Amino acid sequence: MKIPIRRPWSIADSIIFLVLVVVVVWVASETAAQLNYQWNWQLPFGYIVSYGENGWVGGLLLDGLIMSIRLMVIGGVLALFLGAVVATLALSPLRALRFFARLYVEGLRHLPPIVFIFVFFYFISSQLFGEEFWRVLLEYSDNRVGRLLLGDLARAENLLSGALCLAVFEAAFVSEIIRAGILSIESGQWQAARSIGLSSIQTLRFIVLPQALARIAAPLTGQLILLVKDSAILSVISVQELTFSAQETAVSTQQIFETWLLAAGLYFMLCASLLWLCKKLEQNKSN
Amino acid sequence: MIFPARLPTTLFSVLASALTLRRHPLTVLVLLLYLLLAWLLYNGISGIEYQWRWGRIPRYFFIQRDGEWVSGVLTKGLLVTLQLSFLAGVAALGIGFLAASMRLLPLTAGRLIATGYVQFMRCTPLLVQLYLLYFMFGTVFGMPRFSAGVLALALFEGAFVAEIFRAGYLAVPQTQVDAACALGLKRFARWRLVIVPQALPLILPPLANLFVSIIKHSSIVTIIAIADLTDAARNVVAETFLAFEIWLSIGVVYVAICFPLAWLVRQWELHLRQKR
Repeated sequence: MKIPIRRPWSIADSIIFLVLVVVVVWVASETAAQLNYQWNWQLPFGYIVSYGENGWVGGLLLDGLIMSIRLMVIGGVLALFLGAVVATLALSPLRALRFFARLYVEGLRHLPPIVFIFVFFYFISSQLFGEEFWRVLLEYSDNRVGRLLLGDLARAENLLSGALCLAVFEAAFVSEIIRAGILSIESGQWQAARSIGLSSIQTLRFIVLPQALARIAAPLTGQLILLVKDSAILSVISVQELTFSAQETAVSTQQIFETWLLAAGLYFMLCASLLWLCKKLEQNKSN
Repeated sequence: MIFPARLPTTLFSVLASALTLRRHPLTVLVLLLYLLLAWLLYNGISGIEYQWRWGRIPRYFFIQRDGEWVSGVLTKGLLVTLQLSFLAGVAALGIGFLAASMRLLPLTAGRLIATGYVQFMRCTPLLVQLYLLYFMFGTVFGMPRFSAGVLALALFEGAFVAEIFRAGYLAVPQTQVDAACALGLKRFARWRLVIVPQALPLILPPLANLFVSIIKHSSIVTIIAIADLTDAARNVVAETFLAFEIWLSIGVVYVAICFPLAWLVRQWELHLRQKR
């Protein structure tokens, strides 16, 4: 590793810093000159939280953020489940099953998420389950946990379809991570476990999976970041997550720059904390 | 990998084992699984009473006009996609190189700015970046759509290019550089003879992979109405309601471009690894 010696501050630093300042000032002055743009941070901030007669109330952007987090949780859990199933298929001794898993993974890996979302959301996820399914599901989720997880139940169908769509897409990547994790366990571990008399299920349960989980925890978190980022695309099919509510806020406040900067900041906060978790898990593994 | 040499044999063996049911008794179950999936798909489609009209698809790729074959809307869109991806890829290379050097050189401000840039790009969705760039620079500097799209893609991928360059450089052990110094090589010779030849095989395959994924990521620019492949598809679907056929064809086109390229990169990577 060649870590260069860090000097406190050099002439080159001053030049870089100056260039940055000049660019920022230039952009700001151009904005003011070209568009007569009035910067007003207060207005879009009011769409996150505002103080009114009823005390502090969450706004549109906060709703969007919460919806994004819901998508992350539901989509993440579903993707993990589906990914585990596909990884099992990919590791099966049956060629027909392996073929199916490869078809799934290779097909989805090389498809742009936006194309997949159009295909899946419009034609499959909205038709896959009948009305009866949604009625029963909503009936069962009409309790505290259900409301926490789904929010407004009237929009739950939309949210769940979006989450399912994301999950099916990300499961292709998740399955590859899980497969690689299981394959990375040395064959000696399997042999040793068999020789002390564990069955293959027991070997998987007590020997292989605990080790594999430690190895794949960090890449899985990384994939969760990608899931959050891809969830922004769901705004084109009217899932009311952060990007969608940012669009609405930008239109209604006319403070386009601030709104999008705020939305980017909220995404950054969400993903950067996941990235931090990812780094922690990575360190955990090497210790 | 099932592509392409083993694809026929794989297909054949799947069919053979499914038909004879000889080798694996579980094959019946697998067959049932496939049937279930097919039924779900069929159910999804017949739920909206869809009329298949595949015959109307080819004209959107190629059309015969006055006895001459001219490219249709979708082919034009594909060309725009490739053009956009190429330009964005080249620009991303420059941006990534700059950001990586700023992180690796002994600079304080440079490192902070480059690290902030990479983190921001990795932690925000491309869609939000595109909106930000298009609405800000698009309106303030009168930037046309196409340039805004190229710039947004280049900035996004540039962060990943920077990480690839940085990882490749850091993977060359310090002892190599020390040994080169001990041999009396000058700075330029150290780079030319020691660092670059060792870092390059580590950098090139991921870069090639990134170029492939730019083709995929470029589909997002349809949001700001750049006439790429996805946008052309959206327009055709809006005009003709051939939703299923068009979207499935578009999916096949993307996979048909990206999958062989990714496969080639993979083979190349294995080849480079064997050589070492």
